Amino acid sequence: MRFLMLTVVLLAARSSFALSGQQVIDAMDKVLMFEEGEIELSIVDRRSGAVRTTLETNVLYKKGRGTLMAFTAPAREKGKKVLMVAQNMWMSVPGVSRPVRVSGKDSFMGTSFSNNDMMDFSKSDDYECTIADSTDSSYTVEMKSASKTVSYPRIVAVVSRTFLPIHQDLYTLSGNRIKTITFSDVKQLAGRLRPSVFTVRDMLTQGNQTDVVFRAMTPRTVSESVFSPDNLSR
Amino acid sequence: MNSATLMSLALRNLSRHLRRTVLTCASVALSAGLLYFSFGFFRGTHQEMMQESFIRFKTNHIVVRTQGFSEREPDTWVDSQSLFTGHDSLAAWLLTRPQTKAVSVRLIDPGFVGNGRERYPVMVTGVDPAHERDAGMVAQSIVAGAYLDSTDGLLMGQALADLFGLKLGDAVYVQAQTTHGTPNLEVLTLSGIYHTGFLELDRNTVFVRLATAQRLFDTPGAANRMLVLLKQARMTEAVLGEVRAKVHAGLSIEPWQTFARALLEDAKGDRLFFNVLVAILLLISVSSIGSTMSMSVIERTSEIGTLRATGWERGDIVRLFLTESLCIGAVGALAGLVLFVPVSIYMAVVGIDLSRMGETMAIPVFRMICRPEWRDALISVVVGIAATFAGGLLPSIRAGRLRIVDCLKHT
Repeated sequence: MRFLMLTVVLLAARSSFALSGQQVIDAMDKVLMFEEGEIELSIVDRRSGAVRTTLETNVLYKKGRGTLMAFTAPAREKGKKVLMVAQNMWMSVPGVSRPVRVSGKDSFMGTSFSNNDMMDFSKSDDYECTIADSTDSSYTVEMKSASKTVSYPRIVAVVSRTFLPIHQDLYTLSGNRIKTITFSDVKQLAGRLRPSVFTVRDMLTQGNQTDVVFRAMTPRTVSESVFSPDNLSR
Repeated sequence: MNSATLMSLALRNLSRHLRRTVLTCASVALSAGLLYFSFGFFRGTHQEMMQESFIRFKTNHIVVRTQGFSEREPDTWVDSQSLFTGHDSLAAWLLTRPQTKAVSVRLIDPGFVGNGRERYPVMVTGVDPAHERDAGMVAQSIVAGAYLDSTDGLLMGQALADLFGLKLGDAVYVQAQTTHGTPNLEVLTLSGIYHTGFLELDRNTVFVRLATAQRLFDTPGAANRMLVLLKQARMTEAVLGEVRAKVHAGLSIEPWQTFARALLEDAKGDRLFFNVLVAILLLISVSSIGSTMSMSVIERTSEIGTLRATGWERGDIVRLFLTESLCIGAVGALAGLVLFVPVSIYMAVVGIDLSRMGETMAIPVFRMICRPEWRDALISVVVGIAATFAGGLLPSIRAGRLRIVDCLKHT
């Protein structure tokens, strides 16, 4: 009888400490991105294994406010800037006085990422998340969105017990998997362990991939004014 | 002076300077012949080949879209402002009209197709297979497999299939943006391959069922274009009025000419070019016959004096020279027909093959042809003779006004 009661208590305790899918994804988002600061990124686009282009960029990020990306290399892209605020996106090109509006759904500089993918890694706000499976080392979280405006209505995310993202399958409205993202090369960035390489593969162009490499992340206060399209060309 | 005598004298006079006469005739022949050719060429190449091809491949005779639809902004083609529903009842009503040959309901938007390794930008065109079969050119151009049916297949041009190395039964990845701006992906089976010879269709367009396109773009029950093919182009205006009275506000009903402005401007330009060319040639003919007749009057002044002295009236002299002009005009115009009728017949039967230029043309014109009519020949001869009459009139009047004394003094 005592054994039975102990078992019930332990099971109750276990269920009260079990995390929900939403909590796992919230925690994963925190691992992926800090609140605000500066990031140095390299974006390596590969076609059939061979490097096609390597872009280098400095990013200013402020959660809930926006993302500003300024390209530093190669020479032909240097000075270009991309700004994302909510669902709006602009690009400024040196020598062109006014920034042009770009679509979030277009391919990001010809890579496997869409502009939206590239500028917004945070996922928890848009999805209802449930744990589909868990092992001793990871959770498999089923993320579904009822919103018609999210790029991928269904994502299956594999997250480690330490909330490091491992792998994500991105599905379209029709239910077909369109992209996969693999997270690797975990290292200390901005004071905690984070994956430093995101590898995106597109189902339409299998054999090609785009690696986003986080070279450095520096938490700092970012001024609100940098997220104004009016300041983009300055 | 009777006409037979005048004609006989005129012909004899013309034969006295045969080389000059032949050159003047040649000038008239070129003008009249080109005029004849231009009528047939314009009718054949512009009206029959270009306009008919444009109607068949691009717009049919009438296009129904929303008023907010912008042809120049493909990014907005599946936005709410560009979509309409209720097309089934409108199509059913249109098919009851005696002038209607076919009605095509379409949902078109840019997207990508791929074989899983590479992708290529195309126009994804959703069609109702039952209606589209009669309205478009694709059903008649299938080279492998079958036209769309009730299954979820995809039709692709031979050029595009070759580009990807795809064959019937292979999986084709079709990616597009939904009406909400999110990416969507369908994996369809390649069920048919067509070849029209027109690159815009063969390489840049794929066809799927309307229901498949609606699923891909997440626009259930909606279309963004309805095309109406009539039995004859001249019925367009009448049917246009009926459709405008029938459809609800918010829809725009346009005739094919709205979309073919560039084509119609080109046709105008070509016609103007031919008209100017023929006008210049006619002017040369008028001037050449004027100079020939003036020379003849000067050379034959004493002869004119002798004729007048033997009882010829001033009017007889005028008629003699005019008859000579008209003879040159008639012979020249007929010679022009002899030269250009075989060219027109060759162009009507064989034409000039342009099918290899299908990759560079915005309109599917596969042959340059002529469609000559009998009245073209009649008009060309009349214009040729009228030009020579105009050219010969002044020298003839001048010859008639010469005084006998002055003529006889002339040696």
